[in-house]
Amino acid sequence: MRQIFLKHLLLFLSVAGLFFLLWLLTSRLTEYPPETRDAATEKWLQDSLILWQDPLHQAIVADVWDLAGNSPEGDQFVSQMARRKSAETVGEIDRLRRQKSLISTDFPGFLLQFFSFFLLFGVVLAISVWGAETLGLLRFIFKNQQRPAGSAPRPHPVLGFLSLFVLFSPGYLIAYILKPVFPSDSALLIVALGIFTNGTLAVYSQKYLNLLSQEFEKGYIVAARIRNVTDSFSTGRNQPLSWKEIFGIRKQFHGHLLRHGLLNTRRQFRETVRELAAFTITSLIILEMALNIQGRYGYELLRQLLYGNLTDVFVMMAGLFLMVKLTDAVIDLAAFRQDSRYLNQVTEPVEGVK
Amino acid sequence: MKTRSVRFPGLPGDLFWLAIWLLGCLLVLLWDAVFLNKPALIRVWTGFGNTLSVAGISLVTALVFSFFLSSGFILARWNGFGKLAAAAELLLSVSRSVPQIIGLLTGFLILTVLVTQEVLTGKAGILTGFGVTVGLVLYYEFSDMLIERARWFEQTDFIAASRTAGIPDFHLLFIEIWWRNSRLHLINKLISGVGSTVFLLCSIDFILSVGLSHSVNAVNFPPTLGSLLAHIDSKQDILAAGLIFSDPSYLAVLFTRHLQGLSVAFLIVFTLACWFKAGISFAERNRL
Repeated sequence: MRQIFLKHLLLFLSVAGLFFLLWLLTSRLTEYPPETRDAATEKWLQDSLILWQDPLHQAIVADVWDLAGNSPEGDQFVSQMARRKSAETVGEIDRLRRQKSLISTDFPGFLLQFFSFFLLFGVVLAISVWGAETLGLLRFIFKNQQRPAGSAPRPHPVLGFLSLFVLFSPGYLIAYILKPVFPSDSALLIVALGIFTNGTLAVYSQKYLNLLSQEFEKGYIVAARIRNVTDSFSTGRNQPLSWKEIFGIRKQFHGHLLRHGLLNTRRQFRETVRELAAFTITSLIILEMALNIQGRYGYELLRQLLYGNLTDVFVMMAGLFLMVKLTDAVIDLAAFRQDSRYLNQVTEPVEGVK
Repeated sequence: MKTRSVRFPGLPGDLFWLAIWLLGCLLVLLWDAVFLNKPALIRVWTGFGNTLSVAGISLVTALVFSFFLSSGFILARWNGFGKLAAAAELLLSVSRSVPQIIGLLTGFLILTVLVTQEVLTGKAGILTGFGVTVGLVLYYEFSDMLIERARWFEQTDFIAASRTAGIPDFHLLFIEIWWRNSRLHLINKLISGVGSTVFLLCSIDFILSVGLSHSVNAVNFPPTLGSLLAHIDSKQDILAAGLIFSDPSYLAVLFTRHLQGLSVAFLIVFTLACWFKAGISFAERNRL
């Protein structure tokens, strides 16, 4: 078990190191060479009475410059000065913005954002896994129910088209459509969008269905059928497959063929859950960034990116990676426990035995 | 089990969905040509073309990169270079765990710096940069598939027998395993890769257009469907679509008055849905 955490810690540290290298590289690239300045022009720039963007002031300065017999010509000098003044102003604004580093100015706020994002991620991931399993299972059951050809339950075409549109829409698109009736910064909406949009439910329920279908082609299922294990896919209150079990969290189906198929499918689906965890983070960050939800981790990441606070950006990215690694560790731990239980594996040395 | 389209018997399901996609895009183009003003029409369809170009470049990048990494990993393993194989596996493991958004943001951050420094110039150069970035984020899906195919053959006697018979490793891996026995898996991955690429590109470009840099913005990046969706006109069109909840009669004018945003949104969602369906049908038809 210690090895599981060590492996993930090592991976996390190597990626954090990679971010550090990238930070060094990008901070070098974004450094601009210092501008050469001479004392004469600097004196003009420091004069607070001259408004460099005012045409009247520009004309007066140009005339004075020409009368003194300086080079270059007055107009050229004035336009150079106006450009420099404007660049200085923009630079100052930029500098002020860069100072708004979240981590150095409000570390507790940063931690609060991180943990609330972590909570949001956990909720969306858990419901997405349940949703993918349930939808995949439902489709498998409908496929295997003995019905006359062409009488399988199908949604109304308009409903089908709408559900396809919602399932494959980027979340921010649906949020914009719903904006007149639903505030886009509501946590409930973000959870719903994280689960139902971006293709999450459609893609991962399909993956679950594929795994389950492959599992049911294996020899042990055929053998179980020959030995008369219940394999009726009828659904309902007094039927072998109750709705409560289908929509339940654990989906046990004791005494039914599905139980064994599901146990093995769940084992394979674990690898997909890792993928889903990374994708859930991606969709949530995209949602928070695209909807400009202030005070949230995703929005803050975009803001720090905009201000060029690369230290904050790379720390926040490392935070996201940490979430994935924690999820991986939890999945590995679950796998370890399940393998110890079903595969009868001795996975850790027993004390006193060499 | 060969899946055929119910509506067009004889036409495989995957080709049916691709035909639907083409037909749908054509209908939107015709509708836009009638009701949308010319500058917006050009913007929308240039954006669509750019998006598909980036998708193509990113798939090629992902394929090439994964091909080199996977072949390096497998050949190192077969020939006893354990450390090299472990390094490749570590790289793959890290790529798999890093959320795609992190890879994309890092990639676009570097891209932004390159554009600001004028290292990367011109529409073709920037689009290629987009494609390479998205491709590098997605490559592990292709690598996983290529390695999994080789592993599947490793479980049989095929590889051991072929190597004993003197077949060179390169021929065995590239020709026998990947070309002759995994082409369909690769095509399936490419089909599903279109959807992932379009989704990621549109999302990152949408965010980018919201504001990633002062000096690089939607003005000096070539338009894609994502940046067009972030355009203020398109946003207003999408917001207008929400009005039908309070005033259903607004539906009558929605498709003529708010066409830019709706066309862009439809093209994104329709492309994602059709290519997903085509991928599933292709996998079912070829029993992958």
